[in-house]
Amino acid sequence: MSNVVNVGVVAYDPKVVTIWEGIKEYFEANGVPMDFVLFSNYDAQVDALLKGWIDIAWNTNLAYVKVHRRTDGKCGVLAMRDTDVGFTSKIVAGAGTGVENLGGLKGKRVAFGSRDSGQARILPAYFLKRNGIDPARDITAIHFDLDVGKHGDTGTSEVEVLNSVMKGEAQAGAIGDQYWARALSENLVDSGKVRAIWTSPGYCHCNFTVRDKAGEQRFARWTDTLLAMDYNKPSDRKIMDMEGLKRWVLPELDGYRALFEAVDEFQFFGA
Amino acid sequence: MSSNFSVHSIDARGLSATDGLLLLVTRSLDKLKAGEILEILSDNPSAEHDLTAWSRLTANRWIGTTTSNGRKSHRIEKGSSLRVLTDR
Repeated sequence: MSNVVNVGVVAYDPKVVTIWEGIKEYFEANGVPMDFVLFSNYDAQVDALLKGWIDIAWNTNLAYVKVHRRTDGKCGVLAMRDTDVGFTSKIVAGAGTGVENLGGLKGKRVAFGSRDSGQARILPAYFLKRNGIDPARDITAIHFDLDVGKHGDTGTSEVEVLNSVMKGEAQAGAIGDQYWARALSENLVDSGKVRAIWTSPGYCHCNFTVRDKAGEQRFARWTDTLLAMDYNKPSDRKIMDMEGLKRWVLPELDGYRALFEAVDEFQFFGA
Repeated sequence: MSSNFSVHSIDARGLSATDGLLLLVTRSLDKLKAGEILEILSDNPSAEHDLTAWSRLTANRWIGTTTSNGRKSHRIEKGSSLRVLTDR
């Protein structure tokens, strides 16, 4: 049996190859041979993990929940990025719409991202409902179903949500905090036209999922090597900047509770 | 622990995230050591939402917002990662 650890990764952008070539080199330099396998969508990656074609899947929160359901909770989790912890969704509203808080959304046009985006669709809808706004009845939802299958990784639907609010097509919209922070930092937002009015409770985003709990031990050396990546080393920093983290951390599984509830509530995987 | 460090304060009233607030916060955090705390006085109603997202993205730790005499102040703890402008 080969001792090469095969990690599944969804190719949502050409940079994914550059990132994972760098990660592969890092692991090999540390005596832990690994390779990566690219998938075009998370459903295919989840299937490959469950069939044993890959050892580890770099999954979104939604893909993790799917693996968890299909393994009856027997899957394991190895690690995640520091930026996967405490992820939030934002509700942004257009200036002059009178929307100052969640209550103000009633009767308004609200834009959401792709139907399989945890941060821009599923969780915002879930949290709105928890706060007394039923997305199916209390608002007119505008859905930007772009790059479906990639679970919102490409960010294209969030770009459209923000644009629709800035253009006044939607009076408010739901996006992830990472895209909001980038949009602010890169001056893509006209503060005179749109501003954030609400932040969701924190939840977790991506993680490295394995088929079974025993995998956490089986791949312990791989995990330890990953956790040893050091942002203050220039060679490691290059990879970490591209992957959007400063530190790999152990999983915080409590952060998936809201998504488990949301997929049940909206029967995302069927009744 | 963060409580061992003094708090540095900036007045960002009148600024929104894209009109200088993030730039001022970035420059101010650059002068601090990891674990030190920056207090930001702001009258912008979105600042709390913007700064929480920005803190996570930049690996600084959001501490929270307090209101005193109707004035809001936000606190961020400087993270331990370097902010590198260029790699030469």
